[in-house]
Formats: sequence, C-alpha cells, structure tokens
Amino acid sequence: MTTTALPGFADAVHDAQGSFRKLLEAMAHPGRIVTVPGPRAVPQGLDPATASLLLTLCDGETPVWLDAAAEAVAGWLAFHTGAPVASATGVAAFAVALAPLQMPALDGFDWGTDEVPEASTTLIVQVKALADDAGWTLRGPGIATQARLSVAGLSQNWCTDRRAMQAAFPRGVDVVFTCGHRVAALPRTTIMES
Amino acid sequence: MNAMTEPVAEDGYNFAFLDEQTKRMIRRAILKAVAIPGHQIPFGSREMPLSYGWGTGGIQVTAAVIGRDDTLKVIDQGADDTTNAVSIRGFFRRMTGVATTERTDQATIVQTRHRIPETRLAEGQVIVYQVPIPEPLRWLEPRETETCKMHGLAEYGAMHVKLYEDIVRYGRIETAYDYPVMVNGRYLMRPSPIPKFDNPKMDRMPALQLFGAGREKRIYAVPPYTSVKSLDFEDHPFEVERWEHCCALCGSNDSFLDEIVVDDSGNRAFVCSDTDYCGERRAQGHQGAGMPAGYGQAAADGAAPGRKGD
Ligand SMILES: [Zn+2]
Repeated sequence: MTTTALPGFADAVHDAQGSFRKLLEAMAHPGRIVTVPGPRAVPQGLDPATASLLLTLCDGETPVWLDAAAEAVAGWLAFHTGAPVASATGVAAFAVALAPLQMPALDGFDWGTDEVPEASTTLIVQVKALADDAGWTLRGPGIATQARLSVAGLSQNWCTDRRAMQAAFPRGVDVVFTCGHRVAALPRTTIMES
Repeated sequence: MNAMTEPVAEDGYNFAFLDEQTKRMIRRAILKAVAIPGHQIPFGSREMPLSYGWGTGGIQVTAAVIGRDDTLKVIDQGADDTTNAVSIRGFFRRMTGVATTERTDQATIVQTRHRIPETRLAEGQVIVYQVPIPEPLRWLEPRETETCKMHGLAEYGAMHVKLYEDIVRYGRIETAYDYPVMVNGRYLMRPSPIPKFDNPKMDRMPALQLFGAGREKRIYAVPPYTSVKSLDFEDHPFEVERWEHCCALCGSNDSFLDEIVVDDSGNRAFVCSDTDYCGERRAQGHQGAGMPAGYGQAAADGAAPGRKGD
C-alpha cells in the first residue's frame, strides 16, 4: 500500500472532535500531557498524535511546512486534508518537525503582527520523550501555580530562543509537542523557567 | 458506552449541524484565542437556523467543541427555562443527541447569555458566552482599523479617561453590564452583557471561557487561572451590585437577584436570577421569606414569571 492510500480516522467526525478537544485541553493547560485518538494507520515517520493533529486541524486553507524528515508524508497529508505544502517556514500555518535538533530557528516562522498575532505558525514538534514531572517550570495563563514539562531532543539554542520570544507577545508561535499518542502544548503566553 | 445509545444527530444533519470544514476553521480560531487571551480572532461565521441575537456565535463555538460524551447546559439571564435557552438546548439535542442538564455542576459545557452561574465552575468545564458586540473600544472609536491598532499597541488610555468621566459626571461608573476587563494584564475585553456582579467570577476561573460573536464574526477566550481585572481607579475601586433583600424563595444573600412582578396588582419580589442555584438551595432546605400573597403555585415551584427579556 502506498503512503497516500493509508486510511485516516476510523470515524472522521468524532475522532477529529476527540483530538481537538484533547488539544484544546492541552492548550488551555500548558505542560499538561493528554492522549489523543490516532488514525487507523500512520505513514512511516509520523507518531499517531502527529498524524491525528494534522487530520484534525489542516485543510486547503492551511499551508503546512514539513521538515526534511517529514517531506515523505506530503502525499498523505494532501490526500487526507488537501493542505498545500508551505514553500517556506515564514508562510506556514502549521509546521511539522520530526527532527527537532535540526529545526530552523524560531524566528524563521511566522510570529504574526501586533495587530494580527493569530496569523502565526503553530509548530507541531514530534519528540522522543515527554514528561510532566521534570524539566522546565512553566507559569502563565492556564496554569494554577506552576507546571513542569520535560521534552527530549531540543537544542539549548531552541530553549534560549523560546524564552526570548516571550518579550515579543502578542507576537509569537505556539508549540505543540507530540510523542506516541501523547500531546503537550506550549502556547506563546507560557513563561519557561529553567 | 453502548453503541445502541450513542448520541447521534437528527437524520440528514452532520453531528452538531456544522460541516467539518467549518468546525476546523472555528477550532483553529479557538486554539489561537486560547493562546492569546482576550484577543479577538475573526472567523467565517456561518448562517445558522436561528437569527442573530439568538446567540449564533456562541452556538457555533459550542458546535465546534461539543462531543458525544458532553453534557450541555444552556442558560439565558440565569434561567434554563427561558425561550432562548430552551430553543438552543433543543437545537443541540436534535443536532447532537447529547445529554442536557440544568445542573451547573453536572454540565461539561455551559452556554450562556447574560450570566455566569452562581455555582463555581470547575476545571474541565467550558463556559461559552454569547456575545452581541465583542469590541470594548467600539463606543470610543467606531473604526475597526483604529481599534485594531489600539489593541495591537495596548493603547487603552482613552478607555480609562472615558470611564473616569463617567465617575466625574455621575459620581460612579454607569456601566452596569458588559463592564470592560483587562485580561492577563494585556488585552481589554468585553465580557458580554453579564452584570458586573459576575465580573469577579471570571478572574482566575478554573474553567475555560470561550466567547462567540456571530454577527460580528469574532471569537475570543480566557484560559483557566488567568487574571481578569475589571477596569477601575485608585480613588474609585470597582464595586459590584449589592441588594438589601434576600431571595424570597431560597433566602440567598449573595446571589444576583432579579426584581419580578408577581401579580396583577403590581406586587414585587426579589428572587435569584440563577434558577438552578436557587432550586438547589431550596432542595437543601434553605428558605426565603416567601413570595407576596397572590403569587402562583407554579412560580413557587421554580418557574420564572415576569422575568424581563431583552
Ligand atoms: Zn434564590
């Protein structure tokens, strides 16, 4: 079977709703790890959560930037969602990074403008491990006191850039980490302490 | 869950009425709204089978969020039994088949017009506000290009001046409903026409707050545990309404009261605007001073007679 012909959600309506609702919970509670339903099959290289979020969020109106490791799923993405591949990071509604260490610098993505901050890229970063009992200390909207999040395989530069981005609010990118069936979010409002 | 009883939409309709493309567009807007608390996100509002003024923005937000496992509560002016609330609840029952409730503590989604329930909302719940006018700066500056700039630069000085003028002129701030708030110290936001009595409930609320304006095509949000401060001044701190009365039915002295006409001779009484809260208190044995003579038995059982609509 070619990658393109792989099946998507078993139930397009309710699996998309279920995935969205879990992502909304993750976005509303930064650092919280949630589990999303996966599609019936995933193209090689994509974790179920990564595939699930793409099926849930993307369509013809959302250019998706794919890193080199994700380029092979362009056909699958186009078949199931109709989403065009973004030619550059700066014009991507969504960006998929399967190789976080090689990810382009954060300021290469669209941060929106002060007046239209929502016109910004949402990064979907697939990682090898996620844990909520170690790593960064997170504060900000959605967090009662503080949360923890540990993400494997990010460069030190990336973390430095993400902290620097906080000063640009309301401009910025929102980041969603995926790992297996699990998802955690880091919206631009979240303050990362070491 | 038993597949036989799985909630479904009425024949011929997609689950929750909206097509999947529209849901995706609204879902993307909701996610950005949560990421930028208090900022209004434009969205491609759809025609709905209810007219504007019936909460088509809130309905679209709820339709994009709701799933088969949800339990929906719909209130208007605090009551579950008003025409608007009954109509919207019926719409979602037909279009999703999901369970509905009047109990605030049993709902996973509360769609509301004009009130926040008295019962504290908990983490995991979602409250969806129906918004007629989303722009807090509209009455200062009718041009959208200008209000966008003011939000972009957080230039809210004119709003403070306007409110201060109210104080000088009337001795207090006139705005009793839809009183502007500052979200997360950054965005000025209209809370929708809730009484300012409800404003403090928005501050660091554990539930997720979503706002939908259908006619004006805007969605905005306040994530859980987010600072929401009503605008005020050092010499004129923000104050909420207080009543000299208690609820005639349940005796509550800390809920928002509606003054209602109870009979043909114009007798009046004060009762809780939140009918679920009032009913729950009476079920627990709380009692008010009682309604004036001539008040019908049906009303004493919890209906809401003479309630002003708008
Ligand atoms: Zn009462």
